[in-house]
Amino acid sequence: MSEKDEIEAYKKALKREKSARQEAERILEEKARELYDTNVQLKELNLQLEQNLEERLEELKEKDVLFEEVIAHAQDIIYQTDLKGYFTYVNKIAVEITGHSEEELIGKHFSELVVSPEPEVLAKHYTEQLKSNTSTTYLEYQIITKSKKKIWLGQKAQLIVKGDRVLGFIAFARDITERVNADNLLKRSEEKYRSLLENMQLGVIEVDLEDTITKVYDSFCELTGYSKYELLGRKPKEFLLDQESRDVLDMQNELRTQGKSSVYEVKIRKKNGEVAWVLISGAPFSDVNGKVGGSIGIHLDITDRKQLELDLEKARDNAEENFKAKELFLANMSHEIRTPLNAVIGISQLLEKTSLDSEQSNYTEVIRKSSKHLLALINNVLDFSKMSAGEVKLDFEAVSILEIVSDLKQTFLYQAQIKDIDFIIEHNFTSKDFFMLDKLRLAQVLTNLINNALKFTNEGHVKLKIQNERIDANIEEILFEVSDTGKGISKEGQEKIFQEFKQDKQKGANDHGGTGLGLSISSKIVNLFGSELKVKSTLNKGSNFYFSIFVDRASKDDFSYEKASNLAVEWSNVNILLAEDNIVNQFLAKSLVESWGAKITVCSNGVEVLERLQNGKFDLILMDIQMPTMDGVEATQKIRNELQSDIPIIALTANAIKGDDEKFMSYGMNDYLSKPFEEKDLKSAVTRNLSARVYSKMKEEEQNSENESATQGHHTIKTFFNIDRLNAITNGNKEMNGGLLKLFISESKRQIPQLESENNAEMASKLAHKIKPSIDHISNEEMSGLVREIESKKDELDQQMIYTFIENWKILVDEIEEYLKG
Amino acid sequence: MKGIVFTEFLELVEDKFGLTTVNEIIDRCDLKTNGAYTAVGTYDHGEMFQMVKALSEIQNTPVPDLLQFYGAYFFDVLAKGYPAFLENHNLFSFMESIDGYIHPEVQKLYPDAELPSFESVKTDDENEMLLIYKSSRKMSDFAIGLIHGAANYFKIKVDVAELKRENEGEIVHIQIKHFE
Repeated sequence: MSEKDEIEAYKKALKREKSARQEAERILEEKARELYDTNVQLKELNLQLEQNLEERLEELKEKDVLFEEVIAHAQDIIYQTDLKGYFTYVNKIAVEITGHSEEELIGKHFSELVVSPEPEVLAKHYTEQLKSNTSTTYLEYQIITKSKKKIWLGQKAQLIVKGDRVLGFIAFARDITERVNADNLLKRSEEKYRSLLENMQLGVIEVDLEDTITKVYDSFCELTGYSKYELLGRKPKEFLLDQESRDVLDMQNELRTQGKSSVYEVKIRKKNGEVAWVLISGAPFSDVNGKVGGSIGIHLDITDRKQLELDLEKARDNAEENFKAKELFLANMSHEIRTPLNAVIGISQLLEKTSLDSEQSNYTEVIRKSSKHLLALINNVLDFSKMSAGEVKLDFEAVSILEIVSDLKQTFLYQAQIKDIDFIIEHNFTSKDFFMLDKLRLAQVLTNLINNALKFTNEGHVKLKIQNERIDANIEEILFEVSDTGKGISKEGQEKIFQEFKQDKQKGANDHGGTGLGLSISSKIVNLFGSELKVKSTLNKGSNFYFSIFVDRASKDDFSYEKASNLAVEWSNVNILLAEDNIVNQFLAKSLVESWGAKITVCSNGVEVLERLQNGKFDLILMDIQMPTMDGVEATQKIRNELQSDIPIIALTANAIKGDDEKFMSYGMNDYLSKPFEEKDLKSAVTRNLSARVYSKMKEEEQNSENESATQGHHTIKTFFNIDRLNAITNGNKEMNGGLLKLFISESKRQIPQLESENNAEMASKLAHKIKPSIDHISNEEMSGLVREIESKKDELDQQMIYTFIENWKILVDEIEEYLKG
Repeated sequence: MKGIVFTEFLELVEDKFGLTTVNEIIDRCDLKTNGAYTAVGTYDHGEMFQMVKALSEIQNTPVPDLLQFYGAYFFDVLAKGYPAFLENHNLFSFMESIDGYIHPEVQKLYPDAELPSFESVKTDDENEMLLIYKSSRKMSDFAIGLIHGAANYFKIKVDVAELKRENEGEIVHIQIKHFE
């Protein structure tokens, strides 16, 4: 490169350098100016800051003054202490409350004022705060003022911290004496109730609305065996109750949400698995807003009481069972007593039909009367027990008061005449007056009352008054009154007279006998009529028994029951079928029926009844209900349904308690008789049920058969005595057999000559009739046949037959005498 | 672009090729500044490209080679001017500190500066480092030169390779491999 070029290059470079320098100078100048501007701004900013700072300091100073003022005049005690607890500052209120001046307080240790808790407790508390560097703590303590007044303070103590150093405490304390006192009062009262609850053995818990246990008292723990810890937060029904009790509780909780309290009993399961009955008194309680917040349950352990209840229930059940057993016993006993009684009454009736001398006649009468009395007694006892069991119901039918009156008159007029007293009847009824009444029961009451009156009246009169006291067209009331002029009843007596087994002692029960049940039964019957049997009486002047019952007049529809026609029955044309398994009863019924002159065929069960019916013609059936093989009910139904027979059937039953004629009617029976029956009852029942049909053509057959048995009678076999039938009656009682047989012998020895010398066929027939039952009892078929033959020959004396009979009879007597000797 | 990049470039050209080449470059280019630069100024980076291109033509040397060369040289300038940034570093930790520390500091000093980013990606190989260069100036070759300069400064030997180039050089993946 040439020098010139080189110079040129440098010139160019220099020029660039110059312009670059100028550019740099310009940039620098610019930067310097920027710097200067920034500096100016900074200065201004600084000034501003200083001013702000001054203002803030001024504000702070003002605030400090205000703050001091506030502290000084605060309603709370405010003070500062150093780290050890010595006062370094106290405000005005601190001075006011403690009564110590500021000078006295500063430098004093704050615990010097405290009376409770112990200084060590306080020291520990604040040492702990310092140690753990807890900025604020709260503590309540009691101080004593200069004037010896004790004040409770609640104190917030705050650490005064500067940097990492703690300088002391600043404390804010407030007088809480009132609250503490109230708390104490509350605690004391809570304690009081708690101890009350604990001592009363009442398990108390509180549950919330979800039924979760929120509070548990010790007593509840004792009751259940669970600890508090195990109970809290759980739901009682989830572990204390079984399903049955849960349902109860759910229902109760429903009530509780409605704000209702209630008392109920549930079973709970203890922790040890035992079951306890508790009585729970549940009451809702309200929260601070007045809403139901939960409920309090008070539990009383009633397991023992419940057990007692159960025991009592059991005892009651037992008693009821016993009562039923007693009823059954009575029913059975009545049956057991009635059966032999049946025999006694029946046989005494038969005996009366034989020829007796006056002494024997008297004995028989005593037997008959005594046994009848015994029967009445049993009937009374049965009646009474039926009434006590509420088994007696009235059976209403259309009843004429006049009819009752006439029945009673017939019954009692004679008795009154014997005692030489007047039997007066007063009434205001006509023969058209029919009322719906239970005639039997009403008559039972009146009979009882009149009986009593007659019994206890020795002079004057007995009066029956029946008065219709019509109240209006629809309501009629009948007054029944039985008055007498007898001994009267004492006041005490009147009070007891309707009680069972109580007779008025003044009356001298011994003289008059009786069960003591009559009035009690009467009173109960009157009650059934919806009324009350009352008595008015003055000692030695007389008694007045009365009651009145509301009655309905009978309408035409009520006369469904037709009175039995009192047809004169031609007994010899009557053929009766007896179904009876008891031999004594067979014998009795047979004897009675035969004594009327009717024919009777005996069978001992329903199957035989059906057979007999198919092979012979009968007018009526006497049907025992209880029989082996086929009972009376089944037999009756077969007769009605299979044999299509409308033959009258009279049910015979000994089971008096169950006696229900309607039931027997429903089985297809026509009538019903309760055993033991009296002859007249049987006779009227049979009469009632026999239709007017007369079986004249049967008469021939009957006579033919009698002739047959008569021819069979000519036997040379000299054995006529048969003890079997008698044994059946007396159950093999030898004494009884002996008595009866001796009676028969003495009777025979009187009657044999009588019959031997008898010329009159009719008289012979009567005599035969009389001895027939006895012959039936102790002799054979031949003799029974013969005696019937003689009986039937009323117009013509069959000397030969009588002779045969007498010869046999004598042999029979000899045989019996032999038997008695053996 | 900061003036120092221009002044040091022209200084280097003058050193290596003489003042005549400097003038020739400036004459060939259409420069607003007429080639007069001061380190404290700021100039259009297009002028820099014009000048490098002109030098490439004059010397018949590719632009990238020139830029890499200049980069290595320029690192020494920076190292002398700002030694504090290099203290307590090795190459890799230094490279990592660019985005996190050095450039934020530069930005504080020159708020209008447009600085590239060097995202460093760690690999399993502790002797290897990946850098993702991002800049609208598309001066990855200058950056590679600077890396060589730095390696030279820390006295280690490295291979620097361009792995991938995106958006016409705005994003370039660079691999640095340390070897003995």
